[in-house]
This record gives sequence, C-alpha cells and structure tokens, in this order.
Amino acid sequence: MRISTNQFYQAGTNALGKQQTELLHIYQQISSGRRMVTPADDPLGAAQAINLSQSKSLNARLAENRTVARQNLGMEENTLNSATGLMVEIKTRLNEAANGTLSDADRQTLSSVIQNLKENMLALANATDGNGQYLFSGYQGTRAPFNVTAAGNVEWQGDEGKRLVQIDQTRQVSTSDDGKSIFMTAAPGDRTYITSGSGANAGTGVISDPVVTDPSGANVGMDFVIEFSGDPAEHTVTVVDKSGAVVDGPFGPTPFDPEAKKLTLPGGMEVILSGQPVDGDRFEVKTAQGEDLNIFDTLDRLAAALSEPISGNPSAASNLRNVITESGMRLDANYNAMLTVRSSLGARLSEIDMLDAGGQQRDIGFTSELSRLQDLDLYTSTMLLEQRRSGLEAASLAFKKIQNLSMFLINR
Amino acid sequence: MNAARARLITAGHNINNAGTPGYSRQSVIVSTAGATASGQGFFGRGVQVDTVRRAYNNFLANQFVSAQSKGAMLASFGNQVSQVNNLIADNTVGISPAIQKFFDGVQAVASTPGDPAARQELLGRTQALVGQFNEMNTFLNNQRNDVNGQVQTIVTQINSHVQRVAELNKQIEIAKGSTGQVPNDLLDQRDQEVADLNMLAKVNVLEQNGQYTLTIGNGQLLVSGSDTFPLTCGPSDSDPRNMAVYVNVPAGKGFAKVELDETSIKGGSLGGLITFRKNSLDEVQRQLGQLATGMALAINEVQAQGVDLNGQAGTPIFKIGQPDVVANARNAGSGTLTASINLDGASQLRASDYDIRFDGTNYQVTRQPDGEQVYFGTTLNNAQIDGMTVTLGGAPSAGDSWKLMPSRDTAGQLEMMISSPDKFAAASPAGGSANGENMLAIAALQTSKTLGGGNMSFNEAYSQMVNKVAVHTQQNGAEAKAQAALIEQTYSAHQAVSGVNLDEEYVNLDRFQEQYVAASKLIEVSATLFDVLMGIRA
Repeated sequence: MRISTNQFYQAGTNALGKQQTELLHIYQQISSGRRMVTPADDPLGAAQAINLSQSKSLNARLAENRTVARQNLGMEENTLNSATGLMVEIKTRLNEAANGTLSDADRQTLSSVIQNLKENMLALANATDGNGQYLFSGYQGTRAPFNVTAAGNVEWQGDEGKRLVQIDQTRQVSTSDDGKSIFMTAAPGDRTYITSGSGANAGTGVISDPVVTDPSGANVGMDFVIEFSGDPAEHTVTVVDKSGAVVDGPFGPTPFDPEAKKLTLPGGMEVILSGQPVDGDRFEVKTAQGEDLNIFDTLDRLAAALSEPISGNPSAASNLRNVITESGMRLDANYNAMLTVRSSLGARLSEIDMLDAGGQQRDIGFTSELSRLQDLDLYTSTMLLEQRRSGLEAASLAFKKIQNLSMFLINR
Repeated sequence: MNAARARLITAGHNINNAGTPGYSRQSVIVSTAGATASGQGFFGRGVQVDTVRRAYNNFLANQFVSAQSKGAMLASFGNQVSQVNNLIADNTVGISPAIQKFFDGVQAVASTPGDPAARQELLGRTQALVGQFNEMNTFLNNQRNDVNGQVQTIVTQINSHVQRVAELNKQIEIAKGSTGQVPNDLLDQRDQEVADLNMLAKVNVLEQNGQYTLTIGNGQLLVSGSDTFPLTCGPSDSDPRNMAVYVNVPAGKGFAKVELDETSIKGGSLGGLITFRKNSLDEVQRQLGQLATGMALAINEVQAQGVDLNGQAGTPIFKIGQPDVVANARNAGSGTLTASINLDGASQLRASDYDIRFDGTNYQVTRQPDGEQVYFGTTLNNAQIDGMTVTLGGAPSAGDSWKLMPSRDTAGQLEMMISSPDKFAAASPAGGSANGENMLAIAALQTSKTLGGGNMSFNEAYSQMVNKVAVHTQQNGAEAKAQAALIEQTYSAHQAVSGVNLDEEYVNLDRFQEQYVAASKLIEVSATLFDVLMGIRA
C-alpha cells in the first residue's frame, strides 16, 4: 500500500493531537481537582451530583432550622423556668395567708406582695424574643398575649397558633406554646377538682379537699353545685356540665350534719364541708379541666380577698378561707400546666438533639457520596498524567525519527 | 527523450504538488510508438506519450468526502453543544444553587416569619433566582443568534463553492473540446471544491458527460452544468426566530424560494448547526422554560393561599411568561391563535412545542417532538391542552397552521412581581407575624414532585436538563472519535491511490533521469554515426 507523504504527516499530527487532548483532559482534572470537568464526562453522575448537592444543602438548612427551634425553645424554657420559680414563691405566700394567726394588717401586706407577684408573672407571660416577637401569643407575634383592660383585669388576646419549624424533612415541631395553655387552662389530662364558695355566703361553711371515692362513678368528671336553703339549712346537690346544664339531680334537699364535716356527692365524689352554712349559701365543686383558670384573675381575687378585714367576722373569715383554698387549687392546676409544657419542651429539645445527630450522619454520607462523584483520585490521575506524558513524548520522538527517513534528506 | 522528459515533468509536478489539497498523483501513460516493418522484421520506432492520467478512484474519493462531511457536522454540533455543556459545568453556580438558596431563604422565613432580615434576604434570593433563569435564557438566545449568523455565513460560502464548481464545469468542457484530453488539474480542483462544499453541507454529485450536477436536501438543484441555483437565507416561515435555508426552484418563467426542510439538511457544518438548534438548543430552552414557569406557578399558587405580613392575601411572587404563538407566514386565512398558561397548570405543563393545523373542518394539535396528537375537533375554543387554555378565533383557511411554544422563551420572561419583603405570604389565613405555616408549605415544594405530571421536583427537572446536554455532548464526542478514525481510514485508502509519496517520486526522478540520459546517449550515438557517414562522403 502506498503511504502518501501527506498522509504520513497527517497521521503524525493526528497521533500527537490525540495524545495532547488526553493529556489536557487529565491536566484539567488535576488543576480543577474534579473528576468531571464538564457534565459530559459523566452525564448520570452530573445529574446525581446536582440532586445530591440539593439534599446536602437542604440537610444543612434543616440543621439551621433546628438551631432556630432550639433557640426559640430555649428562650421559652428560660421564661417558663422563671415562671415556675415565681409559682413556688406565690404558693409560699399562699401558705402564709392560710395561717390563721395573721392580723388584718399582715394580710394587707400579703395582698400587695401577691399583687406584685402577679405583675411579675404578667411580665413573664408577655416576654418577647430577640426580634420583639411575643413568646406566648401564638401566631400573633406582634400582639401582646395578655392585655390589662380598663377595668384592671388581664385578658388573653393571642391565639393558639403553633409556630412550626421544619426540623427534619418530614417533621415539623412547634417552637412555641400559647399563653392560654400555660396561664389559663389546666394541663391536658388534669383530673383534679376545685372547690369554691360563693362570696355572698352568710354562713361559716368552709369547703375543701374534693376526693373521688369511686373512679368509675357516674358523675366523676362532672361539676357539682351545692345549695343550702331553709332553717336549719338543708342542701341540694345538682350535677351540671361546663355549660351549666343539669346532668343529674337535683338530689335533696337533705339535712346537713355539721359534725360529719363531709358531704357525699352523688356519683362517686365526696368533699369536706365544715362549719355551718345557712339559707342561700352556695358552694361549687368543679373540674379544673375546661375551667377558665386565668392565673391573673386568681391572683387578683386573692389579693382583693386578703385586703378585706375579717377580724370578728366569722362569715368573712370562712369566705376568705374558701378563696385561699380555691386559689391554691387553681394555682396548683396552673403550676401543673406549666410543668407539663416544660416537660414537652424538654421532649422537643431532645428530639432536636437526636435529629441533629442524624443530620450530621447524613451530611457525612452526602459529602462522601458527592466526593465520590465529583472529586478526583489524585494518585491515579498523577500516574495517568505521567503515563500520557510519556505517550506524547514517545509519539513525537517516533514521528521525528521516521520523518528523517526521507530519501530527499538522506541523499542530499 | 520526449517521453522521459514528460515523465520527468510529471514527477516534478507530483513533487511540487505533494502538499496541494485535493491533488491526485499524475503519471504519464506511454506506449511503444509502433514499429517499421521490413523484410528483416519489425523495427521498433521507440516510445510515445499517450496521455497524462491522474490516479483517482471515484469510490474511494466519495467515501472520504462523505466521511469528512459527517465529521464536519459532528464538529460543528460539538462546538455548539459543548458551549452549553460548559455553561452548566459547575454545579456550584447557576440555576441549581439559586434554587437551593431560594428555598433556604424560604425555610429561614418559615422559621422566623417576623424577622425582617430573613424576609429581605429571601427577596434578594428570589431576585437572584429570576436573574439566573433570565441569564441562562439570554445565553441560549445568544447562541441561537450565533447559530443563525453562522447559517448565513455558511450559505454564502456554499454559494461561492457552487459558483466555482459551475465555472470549473465550463472550463473542463472547453479544455476537453480544444485538446480532446482530460484536464487533470481542473478535475482535481473541481473535486476539491465538491469536498469543501461537503464540509459545509452534504451535497449529492451526479456526473454526466464529465459535468457535475450538484443537489442538496431532497434533490434540489445547486449546479447543473454551468448554471447555478444559489441558496438564500431568511427567517423560517414556521418559526421566524430561526434562520432557514431557501432553495431557488424554477417556477413558471422565474424562480420561487422554497424553505428547505430542516431534516433534509444533512452533514457538514450546516447540518451540525441545524441539528444542534433543533435537537439540543430548542430542547434545553423548552426544559428551562418549563422549569421556570412550573416553579413560578407552583410557588404563586401556594403564596395565594396565605396572607402577608399586613394580613392581606398573598399576591403573586412571580410574573409568568406567556406562550409564544407563531402563525405560519403562508397562512391564507385570518385565524388568530391565543393561548394562556393555566394558573394551576404547573404539573401539566410540558417542555414541548405544538403544531396546530386546520384542514378546513377540523383542528388538529400535535405535540412536538413526541408527535402525539393531543387535540382533534371542529372547534378550538378554550381547549385545555397540557396546562394551557387554547383558543382559535377569526376565520382560518384550510391548510393554515400555527406553532405554539409555551415554554421556549418563558425562562427569559420570568419576572419578580413583589418588591417589598412584607409581601411574602408566610402566614396561614389565621395571620400573625409569628405564623410561618404557609411558608412551610412553599418550602415543601423544594422536594415535592411538582413538575411533569408529578414526576419530578424542580431540582430534578434541572438535573434532567443537565443530563440531557451532557449525554448529547458525550455522544457527540464518542461519535466524533469514531468518525475521526473513519476519516483516517478512508483518507489512507484514498491516499493509497491518489497520494504522492515523495520517496517514490525520488526513485522515479532517478529512473527517468537515467532514461533521459540513455535516450540522449542514443541521439549522441546516432549523431556520431551520422557524422561518420558524413565524413566518409567528404
């Protein structure tokens, strides 16, 4: 076969060009540190890398979300920690108030202490975060959850919206709790009862210590209204629900035995009732669950009751006893609600920690997978570079040698 | 001596033209000059030169030319597609990270809806996302302009080669007529012109009586004898943003321009450019538009379900590009096509174009490039087609056609419609500055399979596009490699016949020089003999 001179040079150029192209590719790989210099080097790998880097960046963003959630929950936890501390303080004062040896003036002092504690509690309930958003107002970040009305009482004006944060791809967690469930309602599952006596009672009846005697009793979980009438006063018990509708009864009238100091309520309950109620007196035994437990109202009423003089007035003293007992029960329910929220905060925080560990694990997985797809194995590539370099050198050397073989050059 | 001289001249011609493109080795064809009859036998009269012939094998030459033509096509396709490939090479810049950053910003607002800094940052990231879509689309548009410009240049080049072939046809005919011999060098030149032409576009050659007739496409004439039918360039009837090639077709007494079907242009740089424009550029731009529009629609849809920081219902974040409708330039009727993208059409939207035809009775809508008929009926009024509402009004004539491109330019038309960070509807309808529920719903779009009938997430749509470009580039690279090997093979086969080997010519020079010396010796001997005879006489 005839090899034309043109073809000979062309072949030489082609061979050198091919070697150079491959050398350049390896050089580009090494200088960029990337296995895929362009997506065409590995189309599938390039597409996978794009999806992986999204997963990686989403994972990183979720970690940031967890940081935000942890901050929010941490702030709430701090505030609730102060609030529960305050509750302990309030309960200590309440126990002092229950001490029968106090004078009217002592009680007056206690009243203003309670008033102060209420103001402190209100400040905590209206606490804000770094952005000036109220912690406990639900969705309404810029509206204070609790507002002091013209009449002086504190009312709830937030909502029960949960401030959800995406802490994992499939998990959203509430980074807030609304003030209503902390300061105004019983914890879910709270089965306790609250006793109260009407402020207008003229007798000396003091009610306390509601007890469920038969947990499967028909009226356990219902409210009871105890009314006295006649002289000697007989009592009638009516079982009602939260709306006040009669569920059972009325039972009675039944004569009251002051010596028993105990009243059996129909359907599985009994309550301590001492002293001597008179005609028109009224007592209530209510579940904490579903009851308006506005802590500020409770403290207001307590402070107001403590400021009333009772010396020489057994009926007023009994009424004060009833208010103190009722306040204690209500504050217990509030305290219980706070602790429940705090423990749920703890659960959320520990879930975040757990997800953090998982997120870090995933990040390592994504990073190594991305690296496998994109990064260059420098050892192999350096070897290849050397190999290609020798190839190019050999090709150019060979070309030069053969090129010298022209007869025109030999027979010069 | 004449024969030896002719051989020496030819060997010299070969040596001189060893590097001339398209040159075929020539050799002198000689024969014995017959013999003088005598009683003692036939005495040879020596040697005579019959002709000079070029070493040329039509079949091998054609193989080489068409291998080169395909090689040129792959090279020009490769030049274009690798530009797109390079554009998307770095996955730390461009659209994919812009999508990621946007959703990062969404998450940040969802986590702290009341934080003005987070909202401001999201606003900036939204702008950056829109910017990336616009920028990539501009790049692709520029590339289309570049391709269009090259098509124009190539058409001019083709015409100049066509002109040369016609001239050579004429010169060859004249040369043959005056000498009766074949003008080898002119033939070489003409073959080289045809080879050059094939590098630009695949051209078919028909040889008749030594004259070349050239055709392009499906047999449209370029050259016949010394007549030329030059190509022209102009906006395509069906899609004016593309430069199309028009052929001159005899019609009545004059000529008519007819658009050359894109699919019939094969081979050469022109074939590569048009294939790239049709198969890669259109496709990428459509996918980009689908992603831009689909994403904007889906986000707007969720945005509308929430309320902003001022308690107002969410207004659209993005302004969505509208479908492009082109009525064929040759439509006779007055029908007008209008199409709009449905606000809830994110998942139905496809990266497709649509051909709409009216046959006088029925409207037929065909989706391209899959060729599926998506609508057929006697009216086209508020028809629901792939996430669009399509209506044809006016009075179309039978045979009229339209092209509907819902996603071609929409990545470039994407705009931001909100300018205040308050306008992100982060809250669920309950409102509140600490309410980020609607933002969480937008954030969920990052990983949900929203596009393509619920089959891909936004990022997956983008990665699919990258994959497609990469596959096109990779395939082209592999084909070009194989084609280079084929070109080398056909070149060596062709050169084995037609090529000049300088060593061979060197040997020939030596041989013919010796012959020349021998022949001149013969003359010298004859002269001496003659002188001797003359001497005797004197």
